[in-house]
Amino acid sequence: MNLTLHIWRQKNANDKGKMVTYKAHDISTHMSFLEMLDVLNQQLIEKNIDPVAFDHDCREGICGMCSLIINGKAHGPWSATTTCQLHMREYKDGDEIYIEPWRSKAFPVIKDLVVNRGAFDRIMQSGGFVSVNTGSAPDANATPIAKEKADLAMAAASCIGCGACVAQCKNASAMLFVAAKVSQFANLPQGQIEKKARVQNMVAAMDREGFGNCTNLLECEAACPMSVSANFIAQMNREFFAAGIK
Amino acid sequence: MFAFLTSSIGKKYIMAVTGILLVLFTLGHMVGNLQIYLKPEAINKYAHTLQSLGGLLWLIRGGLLFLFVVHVITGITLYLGNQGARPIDYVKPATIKATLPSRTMIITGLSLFAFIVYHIMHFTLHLTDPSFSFLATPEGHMDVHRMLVTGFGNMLASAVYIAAMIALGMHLYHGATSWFQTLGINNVKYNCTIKIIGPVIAVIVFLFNTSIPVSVLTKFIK
Repeated sequence: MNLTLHIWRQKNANDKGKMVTYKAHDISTHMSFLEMLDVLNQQLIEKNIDPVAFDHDCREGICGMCSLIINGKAHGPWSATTTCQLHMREYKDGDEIYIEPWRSKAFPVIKDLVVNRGAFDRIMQSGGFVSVNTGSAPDANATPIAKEKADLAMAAASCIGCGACVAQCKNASAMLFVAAKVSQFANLPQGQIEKKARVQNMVAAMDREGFGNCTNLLECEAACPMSVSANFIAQMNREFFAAGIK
Repeated sequence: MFAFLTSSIGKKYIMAVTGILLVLFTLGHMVGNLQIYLKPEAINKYAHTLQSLGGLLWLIRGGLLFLFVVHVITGITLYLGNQGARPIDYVKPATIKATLPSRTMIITGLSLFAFIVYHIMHFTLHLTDPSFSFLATPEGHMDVHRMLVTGFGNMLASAVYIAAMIALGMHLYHGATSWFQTLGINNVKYNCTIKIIGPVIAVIVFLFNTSIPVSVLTKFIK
């Protein structure tokens, strides 16, 4: 099939950037969205045009590198799916597709569709860890953890840090990401030691990076490719309040 | 405590707590006004009781003004922060599941701000119609019943009130549920109930409040 693609082109962080329209030919419905972009880039290279830069790594839906706002939706129209797992059978011949980078002050565009998600790393550095003594591995069941708690922590930890929550949020808020990272520790006994400082430092780091404020629109959980629940935001709000008044 | 209140989550707590208290006031105000459906003496007596509170009345008014100002200023601060968080918007934006009321809180909120200023000028200060001040009951008290009937008898004024109640309903639809999430009150068992509290309050407040100008215009209340 043939498609009309409107893609954000921006030479570097200082360039103003603009939408450019391309025609992509001979796209198979079996391709993934990123393979479709590979084909487009091949066609652009043959015409001596700079190929479109986009982030990707595993292409298996687990690394969190691929991004892209596709027709206004983070990771495209499929729920609980990363861009690399979106397949072209979603589209039909002649479709027009708008492809834009994550938009947030905290995620500056590096080139075309690639943004710098270093803000997430800095939030993690501020408190997204547990301190444990090194040495030989402890016994697997030395620390008893209730099944529900373990499941909850695992559900939070499934966040792959792609930034779709920020990109989809009308306020460019990073609350779901930070909440997931706070909750993956807060639900486990190992995370109790730094509980208070963690939530305070991570929220402070989030605010410093210039993300927006949560207005409970829940667009984040709808866009999340790992279906991380916004219930974790409520948990973080609780933790933050408890830490603040103690 | 200062660091808590100035953080993004702290500001949300401020919105939620002031919001709950304003919702409670809205409900109380509505119940009080529904006395218009009883004999004229009922609402006149109620109004006179409120007027006779003296210092306490001013304390309540001061408290309400404080809540209102804090809610509005914090809301505007959050909104401006959110605008700054996405300096370049999407060329083709889309919404997955956020409801219309949740996305228009700033619009309905500012509309309500304008409406409340008008509402106070209309029925409290009588600036829009100074003749209201001279409506008196045989006992010499303010005739609130007559004031409401005269006030809502004006088609334009009633239209403004009904439009404002649409804004209020939308604001409550999101706000009166959203505070649970902000305060961290979230439990898988109760989330279904929490989700409908806002819409239920919104519908109740909209229907009952709108019924008053509609009843006056249709001569149900004379």
